[in-house]
Amino acid sequence: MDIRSKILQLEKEINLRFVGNEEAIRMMILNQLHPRSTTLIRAGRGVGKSTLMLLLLKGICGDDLVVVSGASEVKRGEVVGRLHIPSLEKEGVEKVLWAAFIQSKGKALDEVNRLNPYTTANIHHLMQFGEVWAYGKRARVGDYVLIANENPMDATSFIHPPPFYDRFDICLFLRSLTLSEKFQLQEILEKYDWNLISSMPQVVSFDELEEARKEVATIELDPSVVGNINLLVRDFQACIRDKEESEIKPPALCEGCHFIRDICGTIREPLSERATVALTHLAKAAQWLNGKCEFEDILRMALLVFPHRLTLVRTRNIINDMVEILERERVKMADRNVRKQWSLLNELLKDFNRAAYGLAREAAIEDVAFAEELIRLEDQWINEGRLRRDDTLSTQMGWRRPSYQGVPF
Amino acid sequence: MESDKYRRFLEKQAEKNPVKIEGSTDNKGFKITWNNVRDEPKRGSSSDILDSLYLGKNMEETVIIERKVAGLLKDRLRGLEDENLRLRKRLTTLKILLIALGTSLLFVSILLLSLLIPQFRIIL
Repeated sequence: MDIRSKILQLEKEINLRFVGNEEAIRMMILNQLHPRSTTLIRAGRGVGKSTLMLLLLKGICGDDLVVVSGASEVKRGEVVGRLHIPSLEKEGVEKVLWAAFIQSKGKALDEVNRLNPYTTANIHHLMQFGEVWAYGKRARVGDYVLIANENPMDATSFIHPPPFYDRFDICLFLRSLTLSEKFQLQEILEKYDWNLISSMPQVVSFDELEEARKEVATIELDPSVVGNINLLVRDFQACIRDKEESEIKPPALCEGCHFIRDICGTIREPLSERATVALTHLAKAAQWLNGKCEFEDILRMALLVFPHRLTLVRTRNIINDMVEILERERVKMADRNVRKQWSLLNELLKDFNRAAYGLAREAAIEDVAFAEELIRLEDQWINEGRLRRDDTLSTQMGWRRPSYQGVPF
Repeated sequence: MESDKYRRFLEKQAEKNPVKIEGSTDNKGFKITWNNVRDEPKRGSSSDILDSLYLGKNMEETVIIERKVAGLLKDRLRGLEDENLRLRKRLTTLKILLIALGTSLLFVSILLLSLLIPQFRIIL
């Protein structure tokens, strides 16, 4: 059996033991196909967060997995490392015994919302730099699979910083089971003697997974796919009033803005560039595993890559709100094609053309991301003496690229 | 300096939705053709309304709008109406403020005049 088939088999084995949430499982599998993958499962009590986490880890790492539970009193020695007392007493040497969590390939964090801030900071460092520190000693951590889960509604939660959550490639939201699915679950439990985790076989070895990760890394994505990913993320970041640096945030910042009804007006804290990286990894994995990655696939991936990385102006139900915004994004992309704005930009990049520029200006009034690109070109044309500053879109609409004394920063 | 991938993305998009620019590069004697070869919007799609909105084209007798586009337009209209209402309320408040300010200014002026010109008090 080749690696691709084994990965598909892994998904099948999980689906045999976990009812519903098929899309979440598929995305979770895809997310394992790049080095140092991190997955966050966010759901209410008793929905199957820990079960899903352990099923996947068992399927990849077998018994080489360590679970750190936020619900228990976790100390640094248990998560990172502790001093070897005999060495210190007999030889006066500070020798660190690295914790099993650091050494294992499969790392599980149960109820991460309950982890104390010190442990969280160590794990944050591990995810950021691929290393850990204890007693002035450093340990490099090789490739791994890290899966965490949390119930944000839990009253005993610590509020972890947004950059910590940003380090998770995707965030899965699990739902409770429907009536018919509950019957299915009971049948499955009986079939596996009420022990789903023990019955889960190791379908791929970690070495095979690493091989798959190497293959996925070599996949070259179609320029349209790369472009759509970048465009999608930019739409969730762009703000003509520079909300990233502004102390005043939407909706107050949007008052009187030309783009007040656009997607940018619904986002308070924009996405980080890690969203682009996570989407690219998923797109490559989908291309490798399924042989294709369409724009529709990217939108579905975005539903798991974006929610834990941004703050909306108004949140009623994050998933429903995101679905609504992504649907608007789909319409926006279709509008862009109708306006043929990228073709115009392509022409304008080759050479300045006043007629094409006129049409591009009209398109820019409808699209912040496009306006940014056009304004950047306007600056270039002004420097070349092809356009007067007074005639530009940036002057007439009062939109400016962040710059000082004409030098962009 | 443009990234090579960025250029390839734009070229690919230009292939899908081509435009042809003929004639001089200044404002006179140019012609832009929209070569809708492959991505010709299907009849019954929302192309008519979008073309008329974005490209200033004339609409046909019957305009068919996709539900999503209609929803988006409805949402935008609702937003504009809300904005309109909000501005109208603000305008009314400002009007009241202006009248109050005008009245008080008049009152203060009469008071000052009556202090400066004693005859004025008599007239009053």
